[in-house]
Amino acid sequence: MSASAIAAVAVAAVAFVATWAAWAAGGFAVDVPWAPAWDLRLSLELDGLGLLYALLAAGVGVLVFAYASAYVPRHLAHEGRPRREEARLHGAMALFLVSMLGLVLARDLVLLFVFWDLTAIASWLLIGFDRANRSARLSALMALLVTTITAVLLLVAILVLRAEYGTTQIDELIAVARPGWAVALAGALIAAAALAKSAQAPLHFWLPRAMAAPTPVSAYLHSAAMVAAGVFLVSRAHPLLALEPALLDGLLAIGLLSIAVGGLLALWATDLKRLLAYSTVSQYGYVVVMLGVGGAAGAAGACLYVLAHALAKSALFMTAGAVTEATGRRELPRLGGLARRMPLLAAGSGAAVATLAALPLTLGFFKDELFFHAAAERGTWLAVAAVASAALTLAYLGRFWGGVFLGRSDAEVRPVPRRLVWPVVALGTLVVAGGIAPGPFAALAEDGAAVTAGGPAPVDVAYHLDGRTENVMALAAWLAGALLLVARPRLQGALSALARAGEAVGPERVYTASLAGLNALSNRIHDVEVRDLRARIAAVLVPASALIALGVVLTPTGGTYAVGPVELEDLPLVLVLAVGALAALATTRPRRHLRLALALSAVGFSLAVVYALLGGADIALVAVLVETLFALLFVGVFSLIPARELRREARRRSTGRTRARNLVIAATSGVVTTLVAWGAFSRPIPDDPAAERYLALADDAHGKDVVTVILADFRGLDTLVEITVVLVAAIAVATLLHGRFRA
Amino acid sequence: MIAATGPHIDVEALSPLLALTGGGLVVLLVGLLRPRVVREVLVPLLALASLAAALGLAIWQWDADEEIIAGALRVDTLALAFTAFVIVAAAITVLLSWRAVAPREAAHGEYYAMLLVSAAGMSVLVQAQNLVSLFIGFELLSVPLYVLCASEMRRSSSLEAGLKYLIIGSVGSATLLYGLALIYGATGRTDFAAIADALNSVGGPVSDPLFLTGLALSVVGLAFKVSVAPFHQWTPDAYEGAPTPVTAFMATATKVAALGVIIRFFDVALINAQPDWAPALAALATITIVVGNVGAIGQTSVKRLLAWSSVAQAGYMLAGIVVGTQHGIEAVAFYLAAYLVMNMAAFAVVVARARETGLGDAIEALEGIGQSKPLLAWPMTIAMLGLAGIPGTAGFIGKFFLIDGAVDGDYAWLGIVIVVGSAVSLVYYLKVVAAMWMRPAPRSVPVLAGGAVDDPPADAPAGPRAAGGEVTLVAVGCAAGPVVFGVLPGPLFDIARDAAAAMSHLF
Repeated sequence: MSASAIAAVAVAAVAFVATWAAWAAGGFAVDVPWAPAWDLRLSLELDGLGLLYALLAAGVGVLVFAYASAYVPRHLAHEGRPRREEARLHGAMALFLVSMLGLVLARDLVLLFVFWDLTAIASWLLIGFDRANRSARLSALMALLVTTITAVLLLVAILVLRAEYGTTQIDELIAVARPGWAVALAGALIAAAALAKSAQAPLHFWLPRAMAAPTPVSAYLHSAAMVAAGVFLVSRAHPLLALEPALLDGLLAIGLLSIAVGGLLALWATDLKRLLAYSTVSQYGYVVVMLGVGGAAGAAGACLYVLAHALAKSALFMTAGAVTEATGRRELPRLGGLARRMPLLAAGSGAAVATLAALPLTLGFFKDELFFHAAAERGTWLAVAAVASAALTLAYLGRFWGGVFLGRSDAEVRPVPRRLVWPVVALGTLVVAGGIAPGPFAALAEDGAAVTAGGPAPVDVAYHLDGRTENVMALAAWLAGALLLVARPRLQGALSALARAGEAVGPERVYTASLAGLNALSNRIHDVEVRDLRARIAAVLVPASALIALGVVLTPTGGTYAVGPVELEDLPLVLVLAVGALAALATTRPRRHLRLALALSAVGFSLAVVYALLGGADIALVAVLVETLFALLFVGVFSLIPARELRREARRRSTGRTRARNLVIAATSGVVTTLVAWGAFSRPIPDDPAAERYLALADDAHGKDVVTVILADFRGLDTLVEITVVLVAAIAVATLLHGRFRA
Repeated sequence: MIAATGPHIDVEALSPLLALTGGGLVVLLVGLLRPRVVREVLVPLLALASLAAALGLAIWQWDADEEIIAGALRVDTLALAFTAFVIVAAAITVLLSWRAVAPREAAHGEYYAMLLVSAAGMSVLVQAQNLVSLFIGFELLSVPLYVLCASEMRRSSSLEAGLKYLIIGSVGSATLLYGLALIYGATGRTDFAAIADALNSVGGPVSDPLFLTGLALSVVGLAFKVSVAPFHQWTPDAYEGAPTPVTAFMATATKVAALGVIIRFFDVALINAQPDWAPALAALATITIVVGNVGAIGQTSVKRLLAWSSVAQAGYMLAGIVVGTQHGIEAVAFYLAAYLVMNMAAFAVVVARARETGLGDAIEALEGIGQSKPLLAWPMTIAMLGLAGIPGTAGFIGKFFLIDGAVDGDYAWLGIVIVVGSAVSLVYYLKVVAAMWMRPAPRSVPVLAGGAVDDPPADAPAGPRAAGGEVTLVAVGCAAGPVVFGVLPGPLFDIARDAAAAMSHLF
């Protein structure tokens, strides 16, 4: 075993023992302020529900990590990768374990969310471990996107609850929450996030894809940890969800759908790991159904079910890995007859299959008893559905075990390391022990169920040799399951059709289509990122005009646009303005650069005359100065550009579409500007006390005119900074020219 | 008759600004000296020293809350916190520029002086509480940046970036100036507090077309600087073309300054018109988040990707301002600090890889560095996860409180837009992470040790060379920030709360 593997196993073992010891010592709680300003707390507490999931994550972790220590070096050797990459897998596994422990201990929803996303990140690293494999990368991304995008729903739910009740502490929320829209909305969002994490239909499609991960990853994440996190959250938040009966009905429906979809696809699948993945979808469907039934019976059933399922399912995943390692095959039809060659593995996985199929003398028998009990309590229709589900489960599990270990095949069997077998045997032994002496398991489940149910939830585990309903249902299920197993070859066509229909119109299709759509949209934006400067300035003017037009439309028009009298003495002003307007129109015509510059100058000069006529002699002077400078600059720049370039530019004709676009932009900007200017002139000028004061103070400041005094004294800082800006610009120009000539 | 007394000049409150401008002058002059060691070592060191002095003075002034220079500037915790952010960004930029091509081409003295003056402009901007000082701060920050963008003068894309930034930036400045003039025309005041009073008065100009037009035009002008869609189009080109240290400075410091002034302008001067501007800003924030996130998906250049991501991030932060509450401003201040270090870490890695590989800022330059360069791969990973808002990083906490602020301020739908936007953003942030950890290094990358360069592209004048210890230091140091503040957000919270406390008139 490599050092990293030993470290990972040690982490899991320590976590297991520590959790156990903490519980035996009467529990454990941490509650420290995290961000006091926003009332966030780091609060962790070990209760019955946390204990169950923590022990599962750590205990199964010990066995799976030990299995991985033998599996991963062989896996890397097959792929021709260096052995040191092993450490990455063990590291990510340990990270996952720690996040999972944090998740089940968190008593604050925000903290829970943090760990929730950390498990997603760790799972992304783990599923994408075979990084040379494109499908592994895509599957990792799919698992991550589906679980984190739905995690967003959890975040929204947290914010809704926080806005409504002012806290994110789970216990406080449960204490103060009352039925209402906030609880209904938040509950629905929490349930959606949780069900996606538990791979419930219709968001189940990521789980079979995630089988691209190395087998130990599947054995851990997709049996005892990652997918368990979803039902854990529903169990944790169950007292909130139970406030709205409709939410529980929704859980019931989704659970039944998942049982059916997962079960039928598991009956159809031929790849070992995919079959197990579909079976996980189906089995967690049971748990969701029981949580949907609710009450003490539902809670008790859910907890025991999770326990039995996690133990058995990880054993089966490890079996699949060992079988593939021994034979090099992973397709059910190409396998068979391994019972004689690998008897220990056959026995261990046989016990696991038996427990999942709820045969007597296994822990799983009781999980189905409780399931039937809860279903029968709810109503006859659910009892019938429960029997059908159990029959389906028995059929696909029988097919899995029989297909691998019975019959015959031509597969060559290579010896496998013992560490690929004994974790399976250990788990098999454990579930059989649970079938004979279920007491400790029941106690564990009972403590967990008490949290979910919000009160005592007895887990009644004992064999009753009588004709009670549960026993009758179990017998019916076995019988129907055996019939289904025998009849399966005839159903192959129908099952394939179902699988094909799922691929054609199923949720995975929606996922790929929306990703492709996003990509296409992004590429379009990339194309629209026009490199044409004029289009960009248009892209500024048009939204700006729209924004302003919105403001203009929203204002009351009464009195906003006044028309004043035109006196005879205004005639020069009108004339000059008309000249300016004509000059502005003229700028649209010339094709030669110099004429264009002169037309622009004409607009500026006529505006300068307008200032002069209106009494702003100083402004008029500045305007004339600026206009003259710019006219000279234009001429200077044109003289520097080769005449050939200028002529070529001038000959370029714009297309009709460009012209139309320019016309629309110009017209919009013009109309909006006119409206604004009109509105501005129609209103009285607000008095500016500062102006009066400046005038009064001008003499005191020893200035002959107020403008000088304002520039030099009253607003000296502004002038100073403005001078700095001009200086910086000068330095900038000098730098650029210097660099240009040096280069 | 009022006696004309000279305004009291509070040198202490002005001292961070003085340190920056004084440093700029000294650096400019020392840069004229001939010896190479003076230009390449002493000048950046002097720049760092003046930044350190400014930072120290800002911290020394921390409790100040006063108007200086006849009400032109306001020194309060908001201004000081944002000034400190800008100074930190500038100091990191100095480190990233240490061995860069740009200062050598533009002459060291001018380059670093320009940087310091731009930082001074940002400082003026976040302190401005007068329309005129707002605009001159805006200009003082912009003009040096136009030149810095173009400072790799032998690279045509750098010149192009500078020119584009200049032209589009000028359109933005002109729009802003027009808007400010109209607001002055409508209210008759230039002082922020006085504008607020005028808006509050009976029959005030809140629903006056002149005022609304001014408001709209100033929104547009400011939106340019923060790269709020649809006024963001210059961003990808300018970020891609500019020398990477300058891009890093633009992406972080400019955003700090522009958001700072938006906070003060909208939440002080225009707070009484909040019902008018809040829906418009909320709509812009939504467009920005959508456009930024979708635009980033298809990018193959890391700088362009970060440009689009910065557009989206601006949208998130705008949401904190829309609600007009202290809570929202706290969230913005917190997020800005986190955003600053995360982006700096990312840009430092881009600088390092561009120097090491000759592949420029293409995403291929990052492939396989998970194995070969863990000291660069981890910072980039943390930066990407932080920007995506993954729990455990300050990015998550910041985003959480931005959303919380939005929900709190009755803009719950905007909070949901942020959440959905960050979910989409995972697609492109993870693309970068996947390139580093899940791809083998391409064969053709000339690795420094022993690898020969066949044909370096024209845009990489120096070819493969050592990234430089200071760049790695920046990457690692900046990446530590989001992790530390993601686990122990307390200290940064206190700064953010102090900053928001300056807006005590808000709810």
